[in-house]
Amino acid sequence: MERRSFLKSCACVGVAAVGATEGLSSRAEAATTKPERMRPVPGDQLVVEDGHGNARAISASELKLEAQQVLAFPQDPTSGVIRSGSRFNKVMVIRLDPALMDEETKANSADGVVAYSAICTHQGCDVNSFIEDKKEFFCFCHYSRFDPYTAGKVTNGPATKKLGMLPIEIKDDLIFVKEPFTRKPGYKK
Amino acid sequence: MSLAKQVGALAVALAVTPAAFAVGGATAAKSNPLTNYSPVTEARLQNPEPENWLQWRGNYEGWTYSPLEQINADNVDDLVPVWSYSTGELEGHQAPPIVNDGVMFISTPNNQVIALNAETGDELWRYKKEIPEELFQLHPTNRGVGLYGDKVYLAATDACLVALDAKTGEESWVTCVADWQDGYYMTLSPLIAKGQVMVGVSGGEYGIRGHVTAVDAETGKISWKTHTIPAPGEPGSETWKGDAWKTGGASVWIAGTYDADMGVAFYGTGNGGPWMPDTRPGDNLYANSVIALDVETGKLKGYHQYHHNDAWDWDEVSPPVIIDYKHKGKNIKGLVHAGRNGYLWTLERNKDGSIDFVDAEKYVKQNVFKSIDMKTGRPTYDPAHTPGTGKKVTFCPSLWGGKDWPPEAYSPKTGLFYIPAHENLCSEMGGVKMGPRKSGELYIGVPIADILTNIRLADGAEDHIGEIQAWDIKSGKKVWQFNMKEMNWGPLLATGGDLLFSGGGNDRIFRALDARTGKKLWQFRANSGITAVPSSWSVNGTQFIGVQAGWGVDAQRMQGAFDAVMDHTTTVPQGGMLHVFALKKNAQKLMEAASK
Repeated sequence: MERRSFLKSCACVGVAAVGATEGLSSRAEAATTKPERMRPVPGDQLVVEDGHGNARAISASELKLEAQQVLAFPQDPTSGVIRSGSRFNKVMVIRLDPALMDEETKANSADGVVAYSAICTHQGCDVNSFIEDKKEFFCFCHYSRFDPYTAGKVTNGPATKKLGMLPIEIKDDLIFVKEPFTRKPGYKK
Repeated sequence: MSLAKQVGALAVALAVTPAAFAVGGATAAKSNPLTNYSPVTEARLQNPEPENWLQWRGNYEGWTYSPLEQINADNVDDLVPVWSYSTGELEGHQAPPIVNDGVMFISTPNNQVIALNAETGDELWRYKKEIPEELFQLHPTNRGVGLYGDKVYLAATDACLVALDAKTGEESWVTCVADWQDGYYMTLSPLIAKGQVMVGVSGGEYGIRGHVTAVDAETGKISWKTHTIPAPGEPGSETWKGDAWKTGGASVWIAGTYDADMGVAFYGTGNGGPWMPDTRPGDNLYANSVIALDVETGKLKGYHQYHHNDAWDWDEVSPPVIIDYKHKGKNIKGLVHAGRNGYLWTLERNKDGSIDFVDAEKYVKQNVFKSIDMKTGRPTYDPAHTPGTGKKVTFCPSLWGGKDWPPEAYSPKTGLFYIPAHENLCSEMGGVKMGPRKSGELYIGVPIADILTNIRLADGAEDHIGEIQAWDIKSGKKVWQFNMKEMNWGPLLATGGDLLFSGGGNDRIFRALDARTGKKLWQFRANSGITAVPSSWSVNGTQFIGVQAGWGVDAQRMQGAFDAVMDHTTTVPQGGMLHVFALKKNAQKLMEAASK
C-alpha cells in the first residue's frame, strides 16, 4: 500500500502515524525484498561500507560535535547483511548539541547523535555534505539545504520536503536503528 | 493503457477518420501530419531537405545550419512568437525540435518525447519512459531523439535505448547498453547510419569505462560495443597503469558526426576519471580525444588526443565538425573542434580513417599549455597550473572550459565557424585522497564543495564572460565576437538567411545576430534560460525557428558557482517550454488556422 493511501484510509496524522506506516511498509518488504535492499528495521546496526562489501561499525564516540557526517548503511547484525543494495538506505550520521535540538529531533536522537536519510527530497540526489559554518546538510545537485536541528527542515530550496530521520539508539557505544525512517526516502518523479 | 498508447490510438484514428479531431486538447480541425509519415532513410539523412531538421545538429557533418532564408537579416525585425508549448518538466532542456515533413519530436528531461504538429503545435502523442525509482540523474536532460525508418529513438537515463513507433509513440523495443546501478546513464542524441543506432554512455564522475554501442535499428540487437579505454593488451593499453583503465571514464555523452563517404563516425571522449591525473598515470588513451569508428564494425580507425592525462575536467566530448577547407593552399578534408581546453583544433581526416593534426589556436585565455608540438599537436603542461592530489592550483579556462557541450555552428554561406565560449573564467581546484570506488557512487577525488565554488574571475570578467565567436576557417582568423555579461550555455543555429540564433544566458534572452557581423538584430525574452539547440523548418511555405527554454544542469550549477563568488545572486526560473517563431506576415495565417 502506498504511504499516502494508507494515511488517507486510516485518517492518521502526525509523526507516530508516519512511523507506523513505514513500519508496515518495512515488514511487508521483509517478506518480498532481498535483505540487502530492505529498508532498515529496528535492531539493524549502522556501519560504514568500504566498497568491497566489508563493514566497519560506527562508534558514537568517534563522532565529533558538528563535524562532517559519516555516510552509513544499516546492517542486519544476525545475518551480517549490509543493506546497501538500495541507495535509499544510505544515511548520514552526525553528532549535534542536544540543547539546540527541537523536540522531534531529540526524540529520534541518542546522546546527541542523529541519523538522516542521505537522499534529497527534491530530485533524489545524494545529500552528502555538511556545511559546518551554516550547520546544514547540503545537496550538490540543486543547492537545497536542510537543518539537522529541526528534524531535517528545508532551509533553502528547491526542495520543499524535509529529510527523513532514522531514529536510533546507542548500546555499548554502537549505533542501532530504533524505528524505521520517519518518511519514505526518495522523491516523486 | 499507457498514455502513449491512448494518444497514439487517437492519432491512428485520425489517420482514418474523415472528420479531424484535435489531439492533446487543441481545438482546431486540421490534417494530421502522421497520416502520411515519411520514413527517414539514410539518403535523406545524408541530404536533408531544407524544410526538415532530421537530426540534432541538422546534418551528419554537425553544422547546426539550416539553408532556409525566408527569415533573414533584412526582415528578422518581423519575427514574432506564433505558438509555444509547455513540456511539463523542470530541469535542463537541451534538445532541438526535430522535424520530419510537418511532424515534430522534442525530448525533455525525465525521458519524455512529445510529438507535435510542427505547424500548429497540436500534440500528437506523448511518451515517458518509466525509470527505476532509485535512479537519480546527475545530468537530468536529453539532447534529442534520432529518426530512422518509421521509428523514433531515445537514449534514456537508465542507460537503455528505446525505439518508438513514430506514428503512435508505442515502444517497439528497449535495449539496455549498460548498468545504471554501476553509474552509467545516457543523455545524448543517437547517431544513426547504415542501419545502426549509435549511443554512448555518461558516468565519468562515477568511475565508469566509456563506450560507444551500436544497436540494429530494426531489431534492437546490439551489433557492436567499442570501449573508449583499451583493455590490457589492446593498442593504447600501455598508456594506463594497473587497474586504472577499469574506472578511467572517457565517457561519450554527445552524438558523433559522420562522414558517409568513409562510413566513419567521429566521437569526442570525456576526461579520464577520477579527476586528478596522479590517480591514473600515463597518457590515458582514448580519453580527451576524437576517435574514428567504422559504423559497421565499431573498429577504431584512428584518433587524435587533444590533451593527455587530463587534470582539469576538460571533457572533449563535442565531436569535430566536418568541414572541408583550404589550409596554406592545400585542400583539407577537415575536422574542426572548439576544445574545452580552450584551443580551436583543426585536423585532417584521411581515407583510411586515421586523423592528422593540422593546427591549434587559443580562442580563450589558457595558461596550462606551455607549448604545442606543431607536428603532432601534443601539448606540454605548466605544472603551476596542473592540479593533483593534495595540490590545489588555479587554471584557465575553468573546469567548464572555453566551450562545454553546447555545439558550434558552421555556415557554408558565410564560411564562418561559430563558437559559444566562456572567456575570463578560471578555476581553483585540487584533489584529496580517495577511498575505493563504490558502484554507483561519485568517484571524483575532488570535494563537492570545492567543485561548486571553483570559479575564479580573471581580469576582464567584470566586462563580460559569455561570448559568441565567429572564425574564418580558411584564414584561421577571428572575424567578430559578441559579448554577454555572464555565462553563455547557448547552442547555436546558423541559417541561410545570414542569421545566427542562440540563447545561453541567465537573462533568458533568445537572440538573432547578423551572421556576417555579429550585430544583434532581434531578441525575445523567454520564460526560462535557454540551453537547447535551436532549429529551423518549414511547413506549407512558412519558415519557423524553434527552441526549448528550460534552465538547469550545468548552466544552473555555474550560476550557483557565480552566486558563491560574485556580489549578487541571479534568479533564473525553471520550467520547460518550446517557443516557436515565424514572420509576422505568416503569423496571422497560422492563428486563423489554429482557431478554426
